[in-house]
Amino acid sequence: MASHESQMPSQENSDQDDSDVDDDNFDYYGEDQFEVAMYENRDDRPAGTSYRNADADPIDPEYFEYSCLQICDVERLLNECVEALCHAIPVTPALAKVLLHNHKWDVASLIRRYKLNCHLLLVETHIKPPKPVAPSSTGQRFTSCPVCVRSNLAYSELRGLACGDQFCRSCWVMHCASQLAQGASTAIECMEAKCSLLCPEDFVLKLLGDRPDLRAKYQHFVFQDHVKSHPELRFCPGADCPTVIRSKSLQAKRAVCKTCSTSFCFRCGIDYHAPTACATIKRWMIKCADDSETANYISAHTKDCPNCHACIEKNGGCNHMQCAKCKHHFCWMCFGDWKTHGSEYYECSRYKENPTVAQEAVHVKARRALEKYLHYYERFENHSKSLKLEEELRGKIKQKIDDKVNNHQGTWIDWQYLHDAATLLTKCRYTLQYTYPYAYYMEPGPRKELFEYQQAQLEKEIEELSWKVERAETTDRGDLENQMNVAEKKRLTLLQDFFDK
Amino acid sequence: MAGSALKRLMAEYRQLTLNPPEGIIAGPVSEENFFEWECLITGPDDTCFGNGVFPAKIAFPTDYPLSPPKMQFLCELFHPNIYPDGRVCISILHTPGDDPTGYESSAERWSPVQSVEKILLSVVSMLAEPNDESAANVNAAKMWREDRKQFEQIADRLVRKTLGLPLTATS
Repeated sequence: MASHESQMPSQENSDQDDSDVDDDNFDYYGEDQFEVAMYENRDDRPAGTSYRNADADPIDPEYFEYSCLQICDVERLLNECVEALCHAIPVTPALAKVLLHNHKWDVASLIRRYKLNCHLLLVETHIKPPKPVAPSSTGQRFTSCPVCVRSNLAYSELRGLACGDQFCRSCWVMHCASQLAQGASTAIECMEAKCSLLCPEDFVLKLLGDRPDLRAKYQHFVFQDHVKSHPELRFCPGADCPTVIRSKSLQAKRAVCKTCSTSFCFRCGIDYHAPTACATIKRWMIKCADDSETANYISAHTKDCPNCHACIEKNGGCNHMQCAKCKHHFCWMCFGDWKTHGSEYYECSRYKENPTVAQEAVHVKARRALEKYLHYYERFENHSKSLKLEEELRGKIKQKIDDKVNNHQGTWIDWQYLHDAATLLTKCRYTLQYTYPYAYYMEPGPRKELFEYQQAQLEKEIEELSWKVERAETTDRGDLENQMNVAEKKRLTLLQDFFDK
Repeated sequence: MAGSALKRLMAEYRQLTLNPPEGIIAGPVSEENFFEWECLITGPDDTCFGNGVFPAKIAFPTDYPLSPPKMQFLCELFHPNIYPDGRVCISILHTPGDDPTGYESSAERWSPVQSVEKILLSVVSMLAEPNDESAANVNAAKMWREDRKQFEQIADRLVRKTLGLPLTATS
């Protein structure tokens, strides 16, 4: 605590050097994620502060370096790119923006390509027409606007891009307004049918000079487009959150917005999903959206006794079932004989492919495919529900700690380990939840067996941890902390072996 | 906005009346409302739609010509690029932004310098050469690709229907 407080004044005083300051604080944030949670509501870190992932260890498979930027920081960053390009090659800032936007903001490659063949680059970026404009077409011919068919226009009324196509100013303004209404900004093109030249920013802003509402809208849209085209930048997916996350490596790792605390996968922008890959989780989510209703119905109602095939409805929480008809004892989750569940209970988290599946009739195959899906889906959903319940538990623990501290039963530091345990439990269960989509799409083989072995190990340790956290009052502190270490180790081992960023 | 749209539509109407393209007649339903047009298109010769006369209506938006008009045939037509309710699906009636499938990227798109005349000429060539890549009527596209003979028979029957002739050829 003392070190944190001593850092505070220097942080507040140094908006400029915030990244350096944060490096000093780095170990602090790295060691103790709970402190971060405690202070996340306080705006005590200056804008643009680098905010590292909880685990600072570079060997950690989830280690991810990123920073949270505010709009002004992003604008500064983009302007620096524009300036660098304008400095290196003879283009206006507006054209530099068009070039950068269409080439992933890669200044070095743009300079190289410009020096190699500037004409080709400008044509490909829709800045210059492919064929040079005939000089006669810019003469007296254009006294009428082909869009509004007004004739005898003063030459000063006409506007046009490098293609030489000229239209009257009011038509251009309406064109921009109608393009903006459709959401286009950086993609506004020349009005001529076969011309695809892009209108640069200065051209549009000049046209919209007396329309402040449209100007603001245009600039807002352009900013959004620029952030989206920049490979290192992502808008925070949180509702109405203006924060932009920046990372130099495009990896499928967890980024946490420091403004709204939204946690997401940096590559695809949806909920973080290690160890499952972005493409796989997308398939899984689509599948769940399609099948979950059927799955809910089937899993909620029909389950047959594995011995006598009597239809059984689950009426209690216990997974140890006894068939009312044949008195067979079995496990509700895996249908295995309950006898095997004493010593090797967690065997039932593993999905076993049936080797004779190929010889079976189509409808049996379909049933098997559904069963396989349900197996993983149920576990995925179950952990999702558990996460919600454990979130409540975390709140209760916090309350309990507060009560204890208020009653002078030790200081807050003495009880902090309880909260750490609950936080770690959430983290581990979250990873465990996302191991199920991964396993569902895995090909059978030794690698899948290894994965399912590790998954079962993780599941076992997490359930043990969950049990101990729920009964933290009566659990020995050393025992709980030991369990925390074991669970986290299992989680990291699984990620190290199977999480390909 | 509507003022310049009206001006442009009047200019186009004048142009179409003074210099009508072959096989096409078009104009406002009434001179009170220039934003609703009616037109008659004759099917291109030497195609299964040949000799047919097809009525259609065109509805213009108030920001015409910045946004494209909408076109709908008022008679029954069996064609890959015409929806069963008669709406026409053709690249020139789409703005560059609104083609999520990317089918029409190389084809001609709407731009403010396009005109009614160009749309109608495009529709005539669409009747002659359907684009079965982006089908509005999937059945028609499938039949056009796989059973051209039956497709031509249906087209011939519909041509006769619009002309009020007996439905089968008398030889």
